[in-house]
Amino acid sequence: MRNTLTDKFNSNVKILVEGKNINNFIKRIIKLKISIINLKYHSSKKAEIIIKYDDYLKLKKYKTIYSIKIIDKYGKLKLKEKIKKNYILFTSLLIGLIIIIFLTNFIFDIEIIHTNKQIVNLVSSELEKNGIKKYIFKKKYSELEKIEDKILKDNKDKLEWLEIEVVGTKYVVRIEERKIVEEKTNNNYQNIVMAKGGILKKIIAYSGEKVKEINTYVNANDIVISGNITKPNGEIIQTKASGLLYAEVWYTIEVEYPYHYKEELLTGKTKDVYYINFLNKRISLFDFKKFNSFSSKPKTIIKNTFLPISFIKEKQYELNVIDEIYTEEEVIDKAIQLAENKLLNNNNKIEEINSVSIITKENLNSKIKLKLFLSVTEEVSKIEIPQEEKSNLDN
Amino acid sequence: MFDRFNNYINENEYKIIIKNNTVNIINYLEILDFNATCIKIKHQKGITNIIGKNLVVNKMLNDEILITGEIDTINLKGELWEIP
Repeated sequence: MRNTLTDKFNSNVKILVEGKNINNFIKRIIKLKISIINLKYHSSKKAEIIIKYDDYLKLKKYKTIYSIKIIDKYGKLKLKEKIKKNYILFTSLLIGLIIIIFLTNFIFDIEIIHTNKQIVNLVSSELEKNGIKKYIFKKKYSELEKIEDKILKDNKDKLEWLEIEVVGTKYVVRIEERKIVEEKTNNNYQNIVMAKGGILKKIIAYSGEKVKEINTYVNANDIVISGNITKPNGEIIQTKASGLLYAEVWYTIEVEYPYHYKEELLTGKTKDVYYINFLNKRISLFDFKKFNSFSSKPKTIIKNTFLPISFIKEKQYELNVIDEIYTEEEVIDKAIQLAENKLLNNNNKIEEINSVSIITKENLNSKIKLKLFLSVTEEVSKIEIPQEEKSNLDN
Repeated sequence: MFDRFNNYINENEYKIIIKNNTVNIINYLEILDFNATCIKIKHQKGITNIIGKNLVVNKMLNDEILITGEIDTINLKGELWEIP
């Protein structure tokens, strides 16, 4: 007899039939076209029959002539009966499972590992600003990465490295403090000069005397904060000038960007899919959540040598495919963005990009080539120790 | 060729499998008569008579039937088959 997996889940009942002549009862079953799954004769007046539950309902009419009793249940019916009997256990198990899932996805503590209290306070307030607090749901790994990058970017002068790790129901934050080694000099007299020529935009002077005005063009190596301070009585005293200078400076950058951009990134999700390959036609089994795009490694499990049919196990790796064709306007925007990012990544003294202008535009076959002029605000202060002070130090 | 392939895939060929005092019939159409000594089964190409003693329909599905009992004779398509 052929038994399929689905048979095991069918709602069947075992009935005990008693009556004058069981054979007549079976004849009736045959006439009604009722399937007999199993029949066991006790005598000519008594038998046990396994039939479908729906068929049992049809047979109920004959209860007056024959005595029909359900003595066992199978499949869904049995399952329902067991659930009914143990519903308190199942309900508490389900509630327990929900609570466990809920609690394991919850954050109860945040531990910041660092010895410097100031840094710990800074990071803790930054984390709170970015939505990382106690008693909230865990964030996705990608979100945590974004937050890490944002905190590092906002505090690039204080933090070297930061990592948020999920340990059970706790966030463990590891930090590396940025230690800027200041050049310690024993000199008593120094000036602050322009490292690059540009339009002076902001002067932050801690000591010394400002000798240039804001919004004027100042050449490279020109003194902006002088160590020579003139007293009201005309006396000049030499001090160690200190401060920061910000100026508008300019860059020209050449950048190329393709019109057709395609990128395939592995998302990290994988799954095993089983399928039947028949005449090069693929019939997937139990593949409910299909990946939109994926790369795969198939492995043949069973292959029929005579028929073009095979059973294959395939490991699928989900891909995130970025496939875009840009218009000229879009490609220019993308190229400008790329140039800006390059500049910001290569020079951490740049405060902001003020404007971008296109000097030349060249359309190559599949890409665009731009020469850009960027105006930026940059920190351009440089310490200059005058020659006479240097010789004093040498002596 | 196509019929054979169709039969291989769908298994709609009439089959009788005889084992010790059991007869398994696959792809029958109807049970015409049934009692403890004779069971008449209609199939696509004719009628099969199972003759014996204490014959019982053990299992009966839409396309499959299992008969047990002391089987003496199976009469298939008018020819008489003696059980040794």
